[in-house]
Amino acid sequence: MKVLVLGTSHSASVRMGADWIKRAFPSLEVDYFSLPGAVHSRSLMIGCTFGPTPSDAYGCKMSQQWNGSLMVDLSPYAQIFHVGERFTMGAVTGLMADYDILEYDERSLRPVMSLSAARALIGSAVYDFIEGRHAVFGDDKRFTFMPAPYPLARGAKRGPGYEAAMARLNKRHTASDWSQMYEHAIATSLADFGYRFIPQPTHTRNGVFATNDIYARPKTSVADVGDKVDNRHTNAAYGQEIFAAYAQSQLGLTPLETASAPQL
Amino acid sequence: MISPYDTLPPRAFWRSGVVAELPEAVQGLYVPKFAITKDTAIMTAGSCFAQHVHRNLVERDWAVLDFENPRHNFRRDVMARFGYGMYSARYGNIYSARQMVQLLHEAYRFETPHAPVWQRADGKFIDAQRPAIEPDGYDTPELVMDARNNHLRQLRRTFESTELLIFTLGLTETWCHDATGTVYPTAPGVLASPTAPEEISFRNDGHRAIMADLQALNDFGKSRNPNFKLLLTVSPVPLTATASGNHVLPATTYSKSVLRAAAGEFARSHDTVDYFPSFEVITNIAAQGDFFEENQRSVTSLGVKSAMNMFFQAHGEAVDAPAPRSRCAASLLDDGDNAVQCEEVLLDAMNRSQT
Repeated sequence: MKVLVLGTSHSASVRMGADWIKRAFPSLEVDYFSLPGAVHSRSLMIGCTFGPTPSDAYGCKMSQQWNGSLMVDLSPYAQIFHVGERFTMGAVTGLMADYDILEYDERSLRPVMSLSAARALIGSAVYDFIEGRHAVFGDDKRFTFMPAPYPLARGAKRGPGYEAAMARLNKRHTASDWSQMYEHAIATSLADFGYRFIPQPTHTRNGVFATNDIYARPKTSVADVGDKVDNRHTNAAYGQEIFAAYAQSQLGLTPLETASAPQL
Repeated sequence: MISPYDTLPPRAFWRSGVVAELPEAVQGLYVPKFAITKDTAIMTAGSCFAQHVHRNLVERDWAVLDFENPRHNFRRDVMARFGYGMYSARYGNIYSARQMVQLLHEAYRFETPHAPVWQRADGKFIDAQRPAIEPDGYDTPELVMDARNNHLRQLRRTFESTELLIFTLGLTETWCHDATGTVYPTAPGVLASPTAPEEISFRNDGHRAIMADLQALNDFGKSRNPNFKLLLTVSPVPLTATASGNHVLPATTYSKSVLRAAAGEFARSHDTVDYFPSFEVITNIAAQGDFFEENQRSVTSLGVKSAMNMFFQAHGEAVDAPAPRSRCAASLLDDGDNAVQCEEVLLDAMNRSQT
């Protein structure tokens, strides 16, 4: 079966695990096509091919660099695993961090918002985002989406790469309720357009809204690179984990070998 | 002999001040009494038209106080459906100065409104003072009060920071609990009802009552902040319906006239109170109705822009030049801003569903 892993820079972690994927899922023929998030979001389908528009010089350059081609023809693939969309994560986590939910017991000095309002705001934001993706990809039942991973847990430490919303959210008793609400909104909106959804696997998370630091890309911490710290992108071990989750849940396949140990 | 009119500027004469001017940019109509800058901490409140004022200030990045609304740009229509992004706090439309004073007194615990929770026909509960902010209603009266108390805390925070309150007067007609004087923005039975609706009756305030309420509002502001300033406007939006027994047209004229007269007189007699003539911009006869939508009530985006451009220009902010008159017709095809939410529209919708 031919499978395409398509997505933003976050799909690179799957590509990094390509050798393991080949061994663990010998029945699959997996190809990869990744673009930087901004380029990905402005890229288009032209017929059956997806990629940056010819006028997007930077996008074309990046596509050539990352993929060895400008576009990818989607027609040969039986399934498409789309990785790395953020689904308005910044706005939604910001909202979650700023409010108490009226119907929940937790109270801080934050304003309260009813569940009804929270669901409507989050649901509409996510829906509009997915509608935008549907405008590009159209009706295509081959698509399964997994969002970008939550930031690494180390991003909760103040300093370079500080992830304020994630840090505030993970301290809250209601984090898992918020998470369910958000992921439910993504799942239902994707289903509205005929797409499937798998959330970030629980075992890759630290708390609810953070990714375990063992999935950090090598040499990206403050100690390694100072201000250029990367608390968003993940390593090959993470790519293996999410591809395994995809293969098991969507293709009914279990890996023939266990995923490699995460890099510490 | 020279007449007193001989030395007056063009703006003092109808022909030069109105007929010769573009309705979108009438010169000299608004001469501010005091400066308002992008850094002035502004609180917005009032009747429907105040939503336009709030939004325009926000869009131009003026220092509009906003502690209760989501920081990110969620969909405007959804925000408005839940009362977010309309004003500096989530109090919904405040149609009268009395309601505004009552709200502030409640926030600072000087007053406890009677029957704060009303029940809808479907069994859900609403906040009687902001009946449209939760379209799904609340499951229990306790949730209503929990939400309200939290809102009042945010309101106190907002008001403590306020240097300027821009308040849009909307109506003289109100619904009042006879024994306590508590006023409500909607009549019993429109969206919900209190347990004893017969205790609430129609009241149509006159000039003296409005003046007293404005005085109370200004006094309260000054008591919290000696530098408090007030900018009054009158909503140009006609009444959706009147309970006065009169035809809605003279009822509208009465309401707007009383409010306009009171606002003008009050501003004239207070150095820290000014009047912003958005009402005059929108209702200018020279605009030939161009500033009203087809329903003859809602203000078009061109009308809003004309009024707000006048505000911004008067306070030193560059604005786009008005479109030539030949383009005005095309601009009116614009269906305005659908997100503006108004309890009056709900009333209108309900009336339609009944006919």
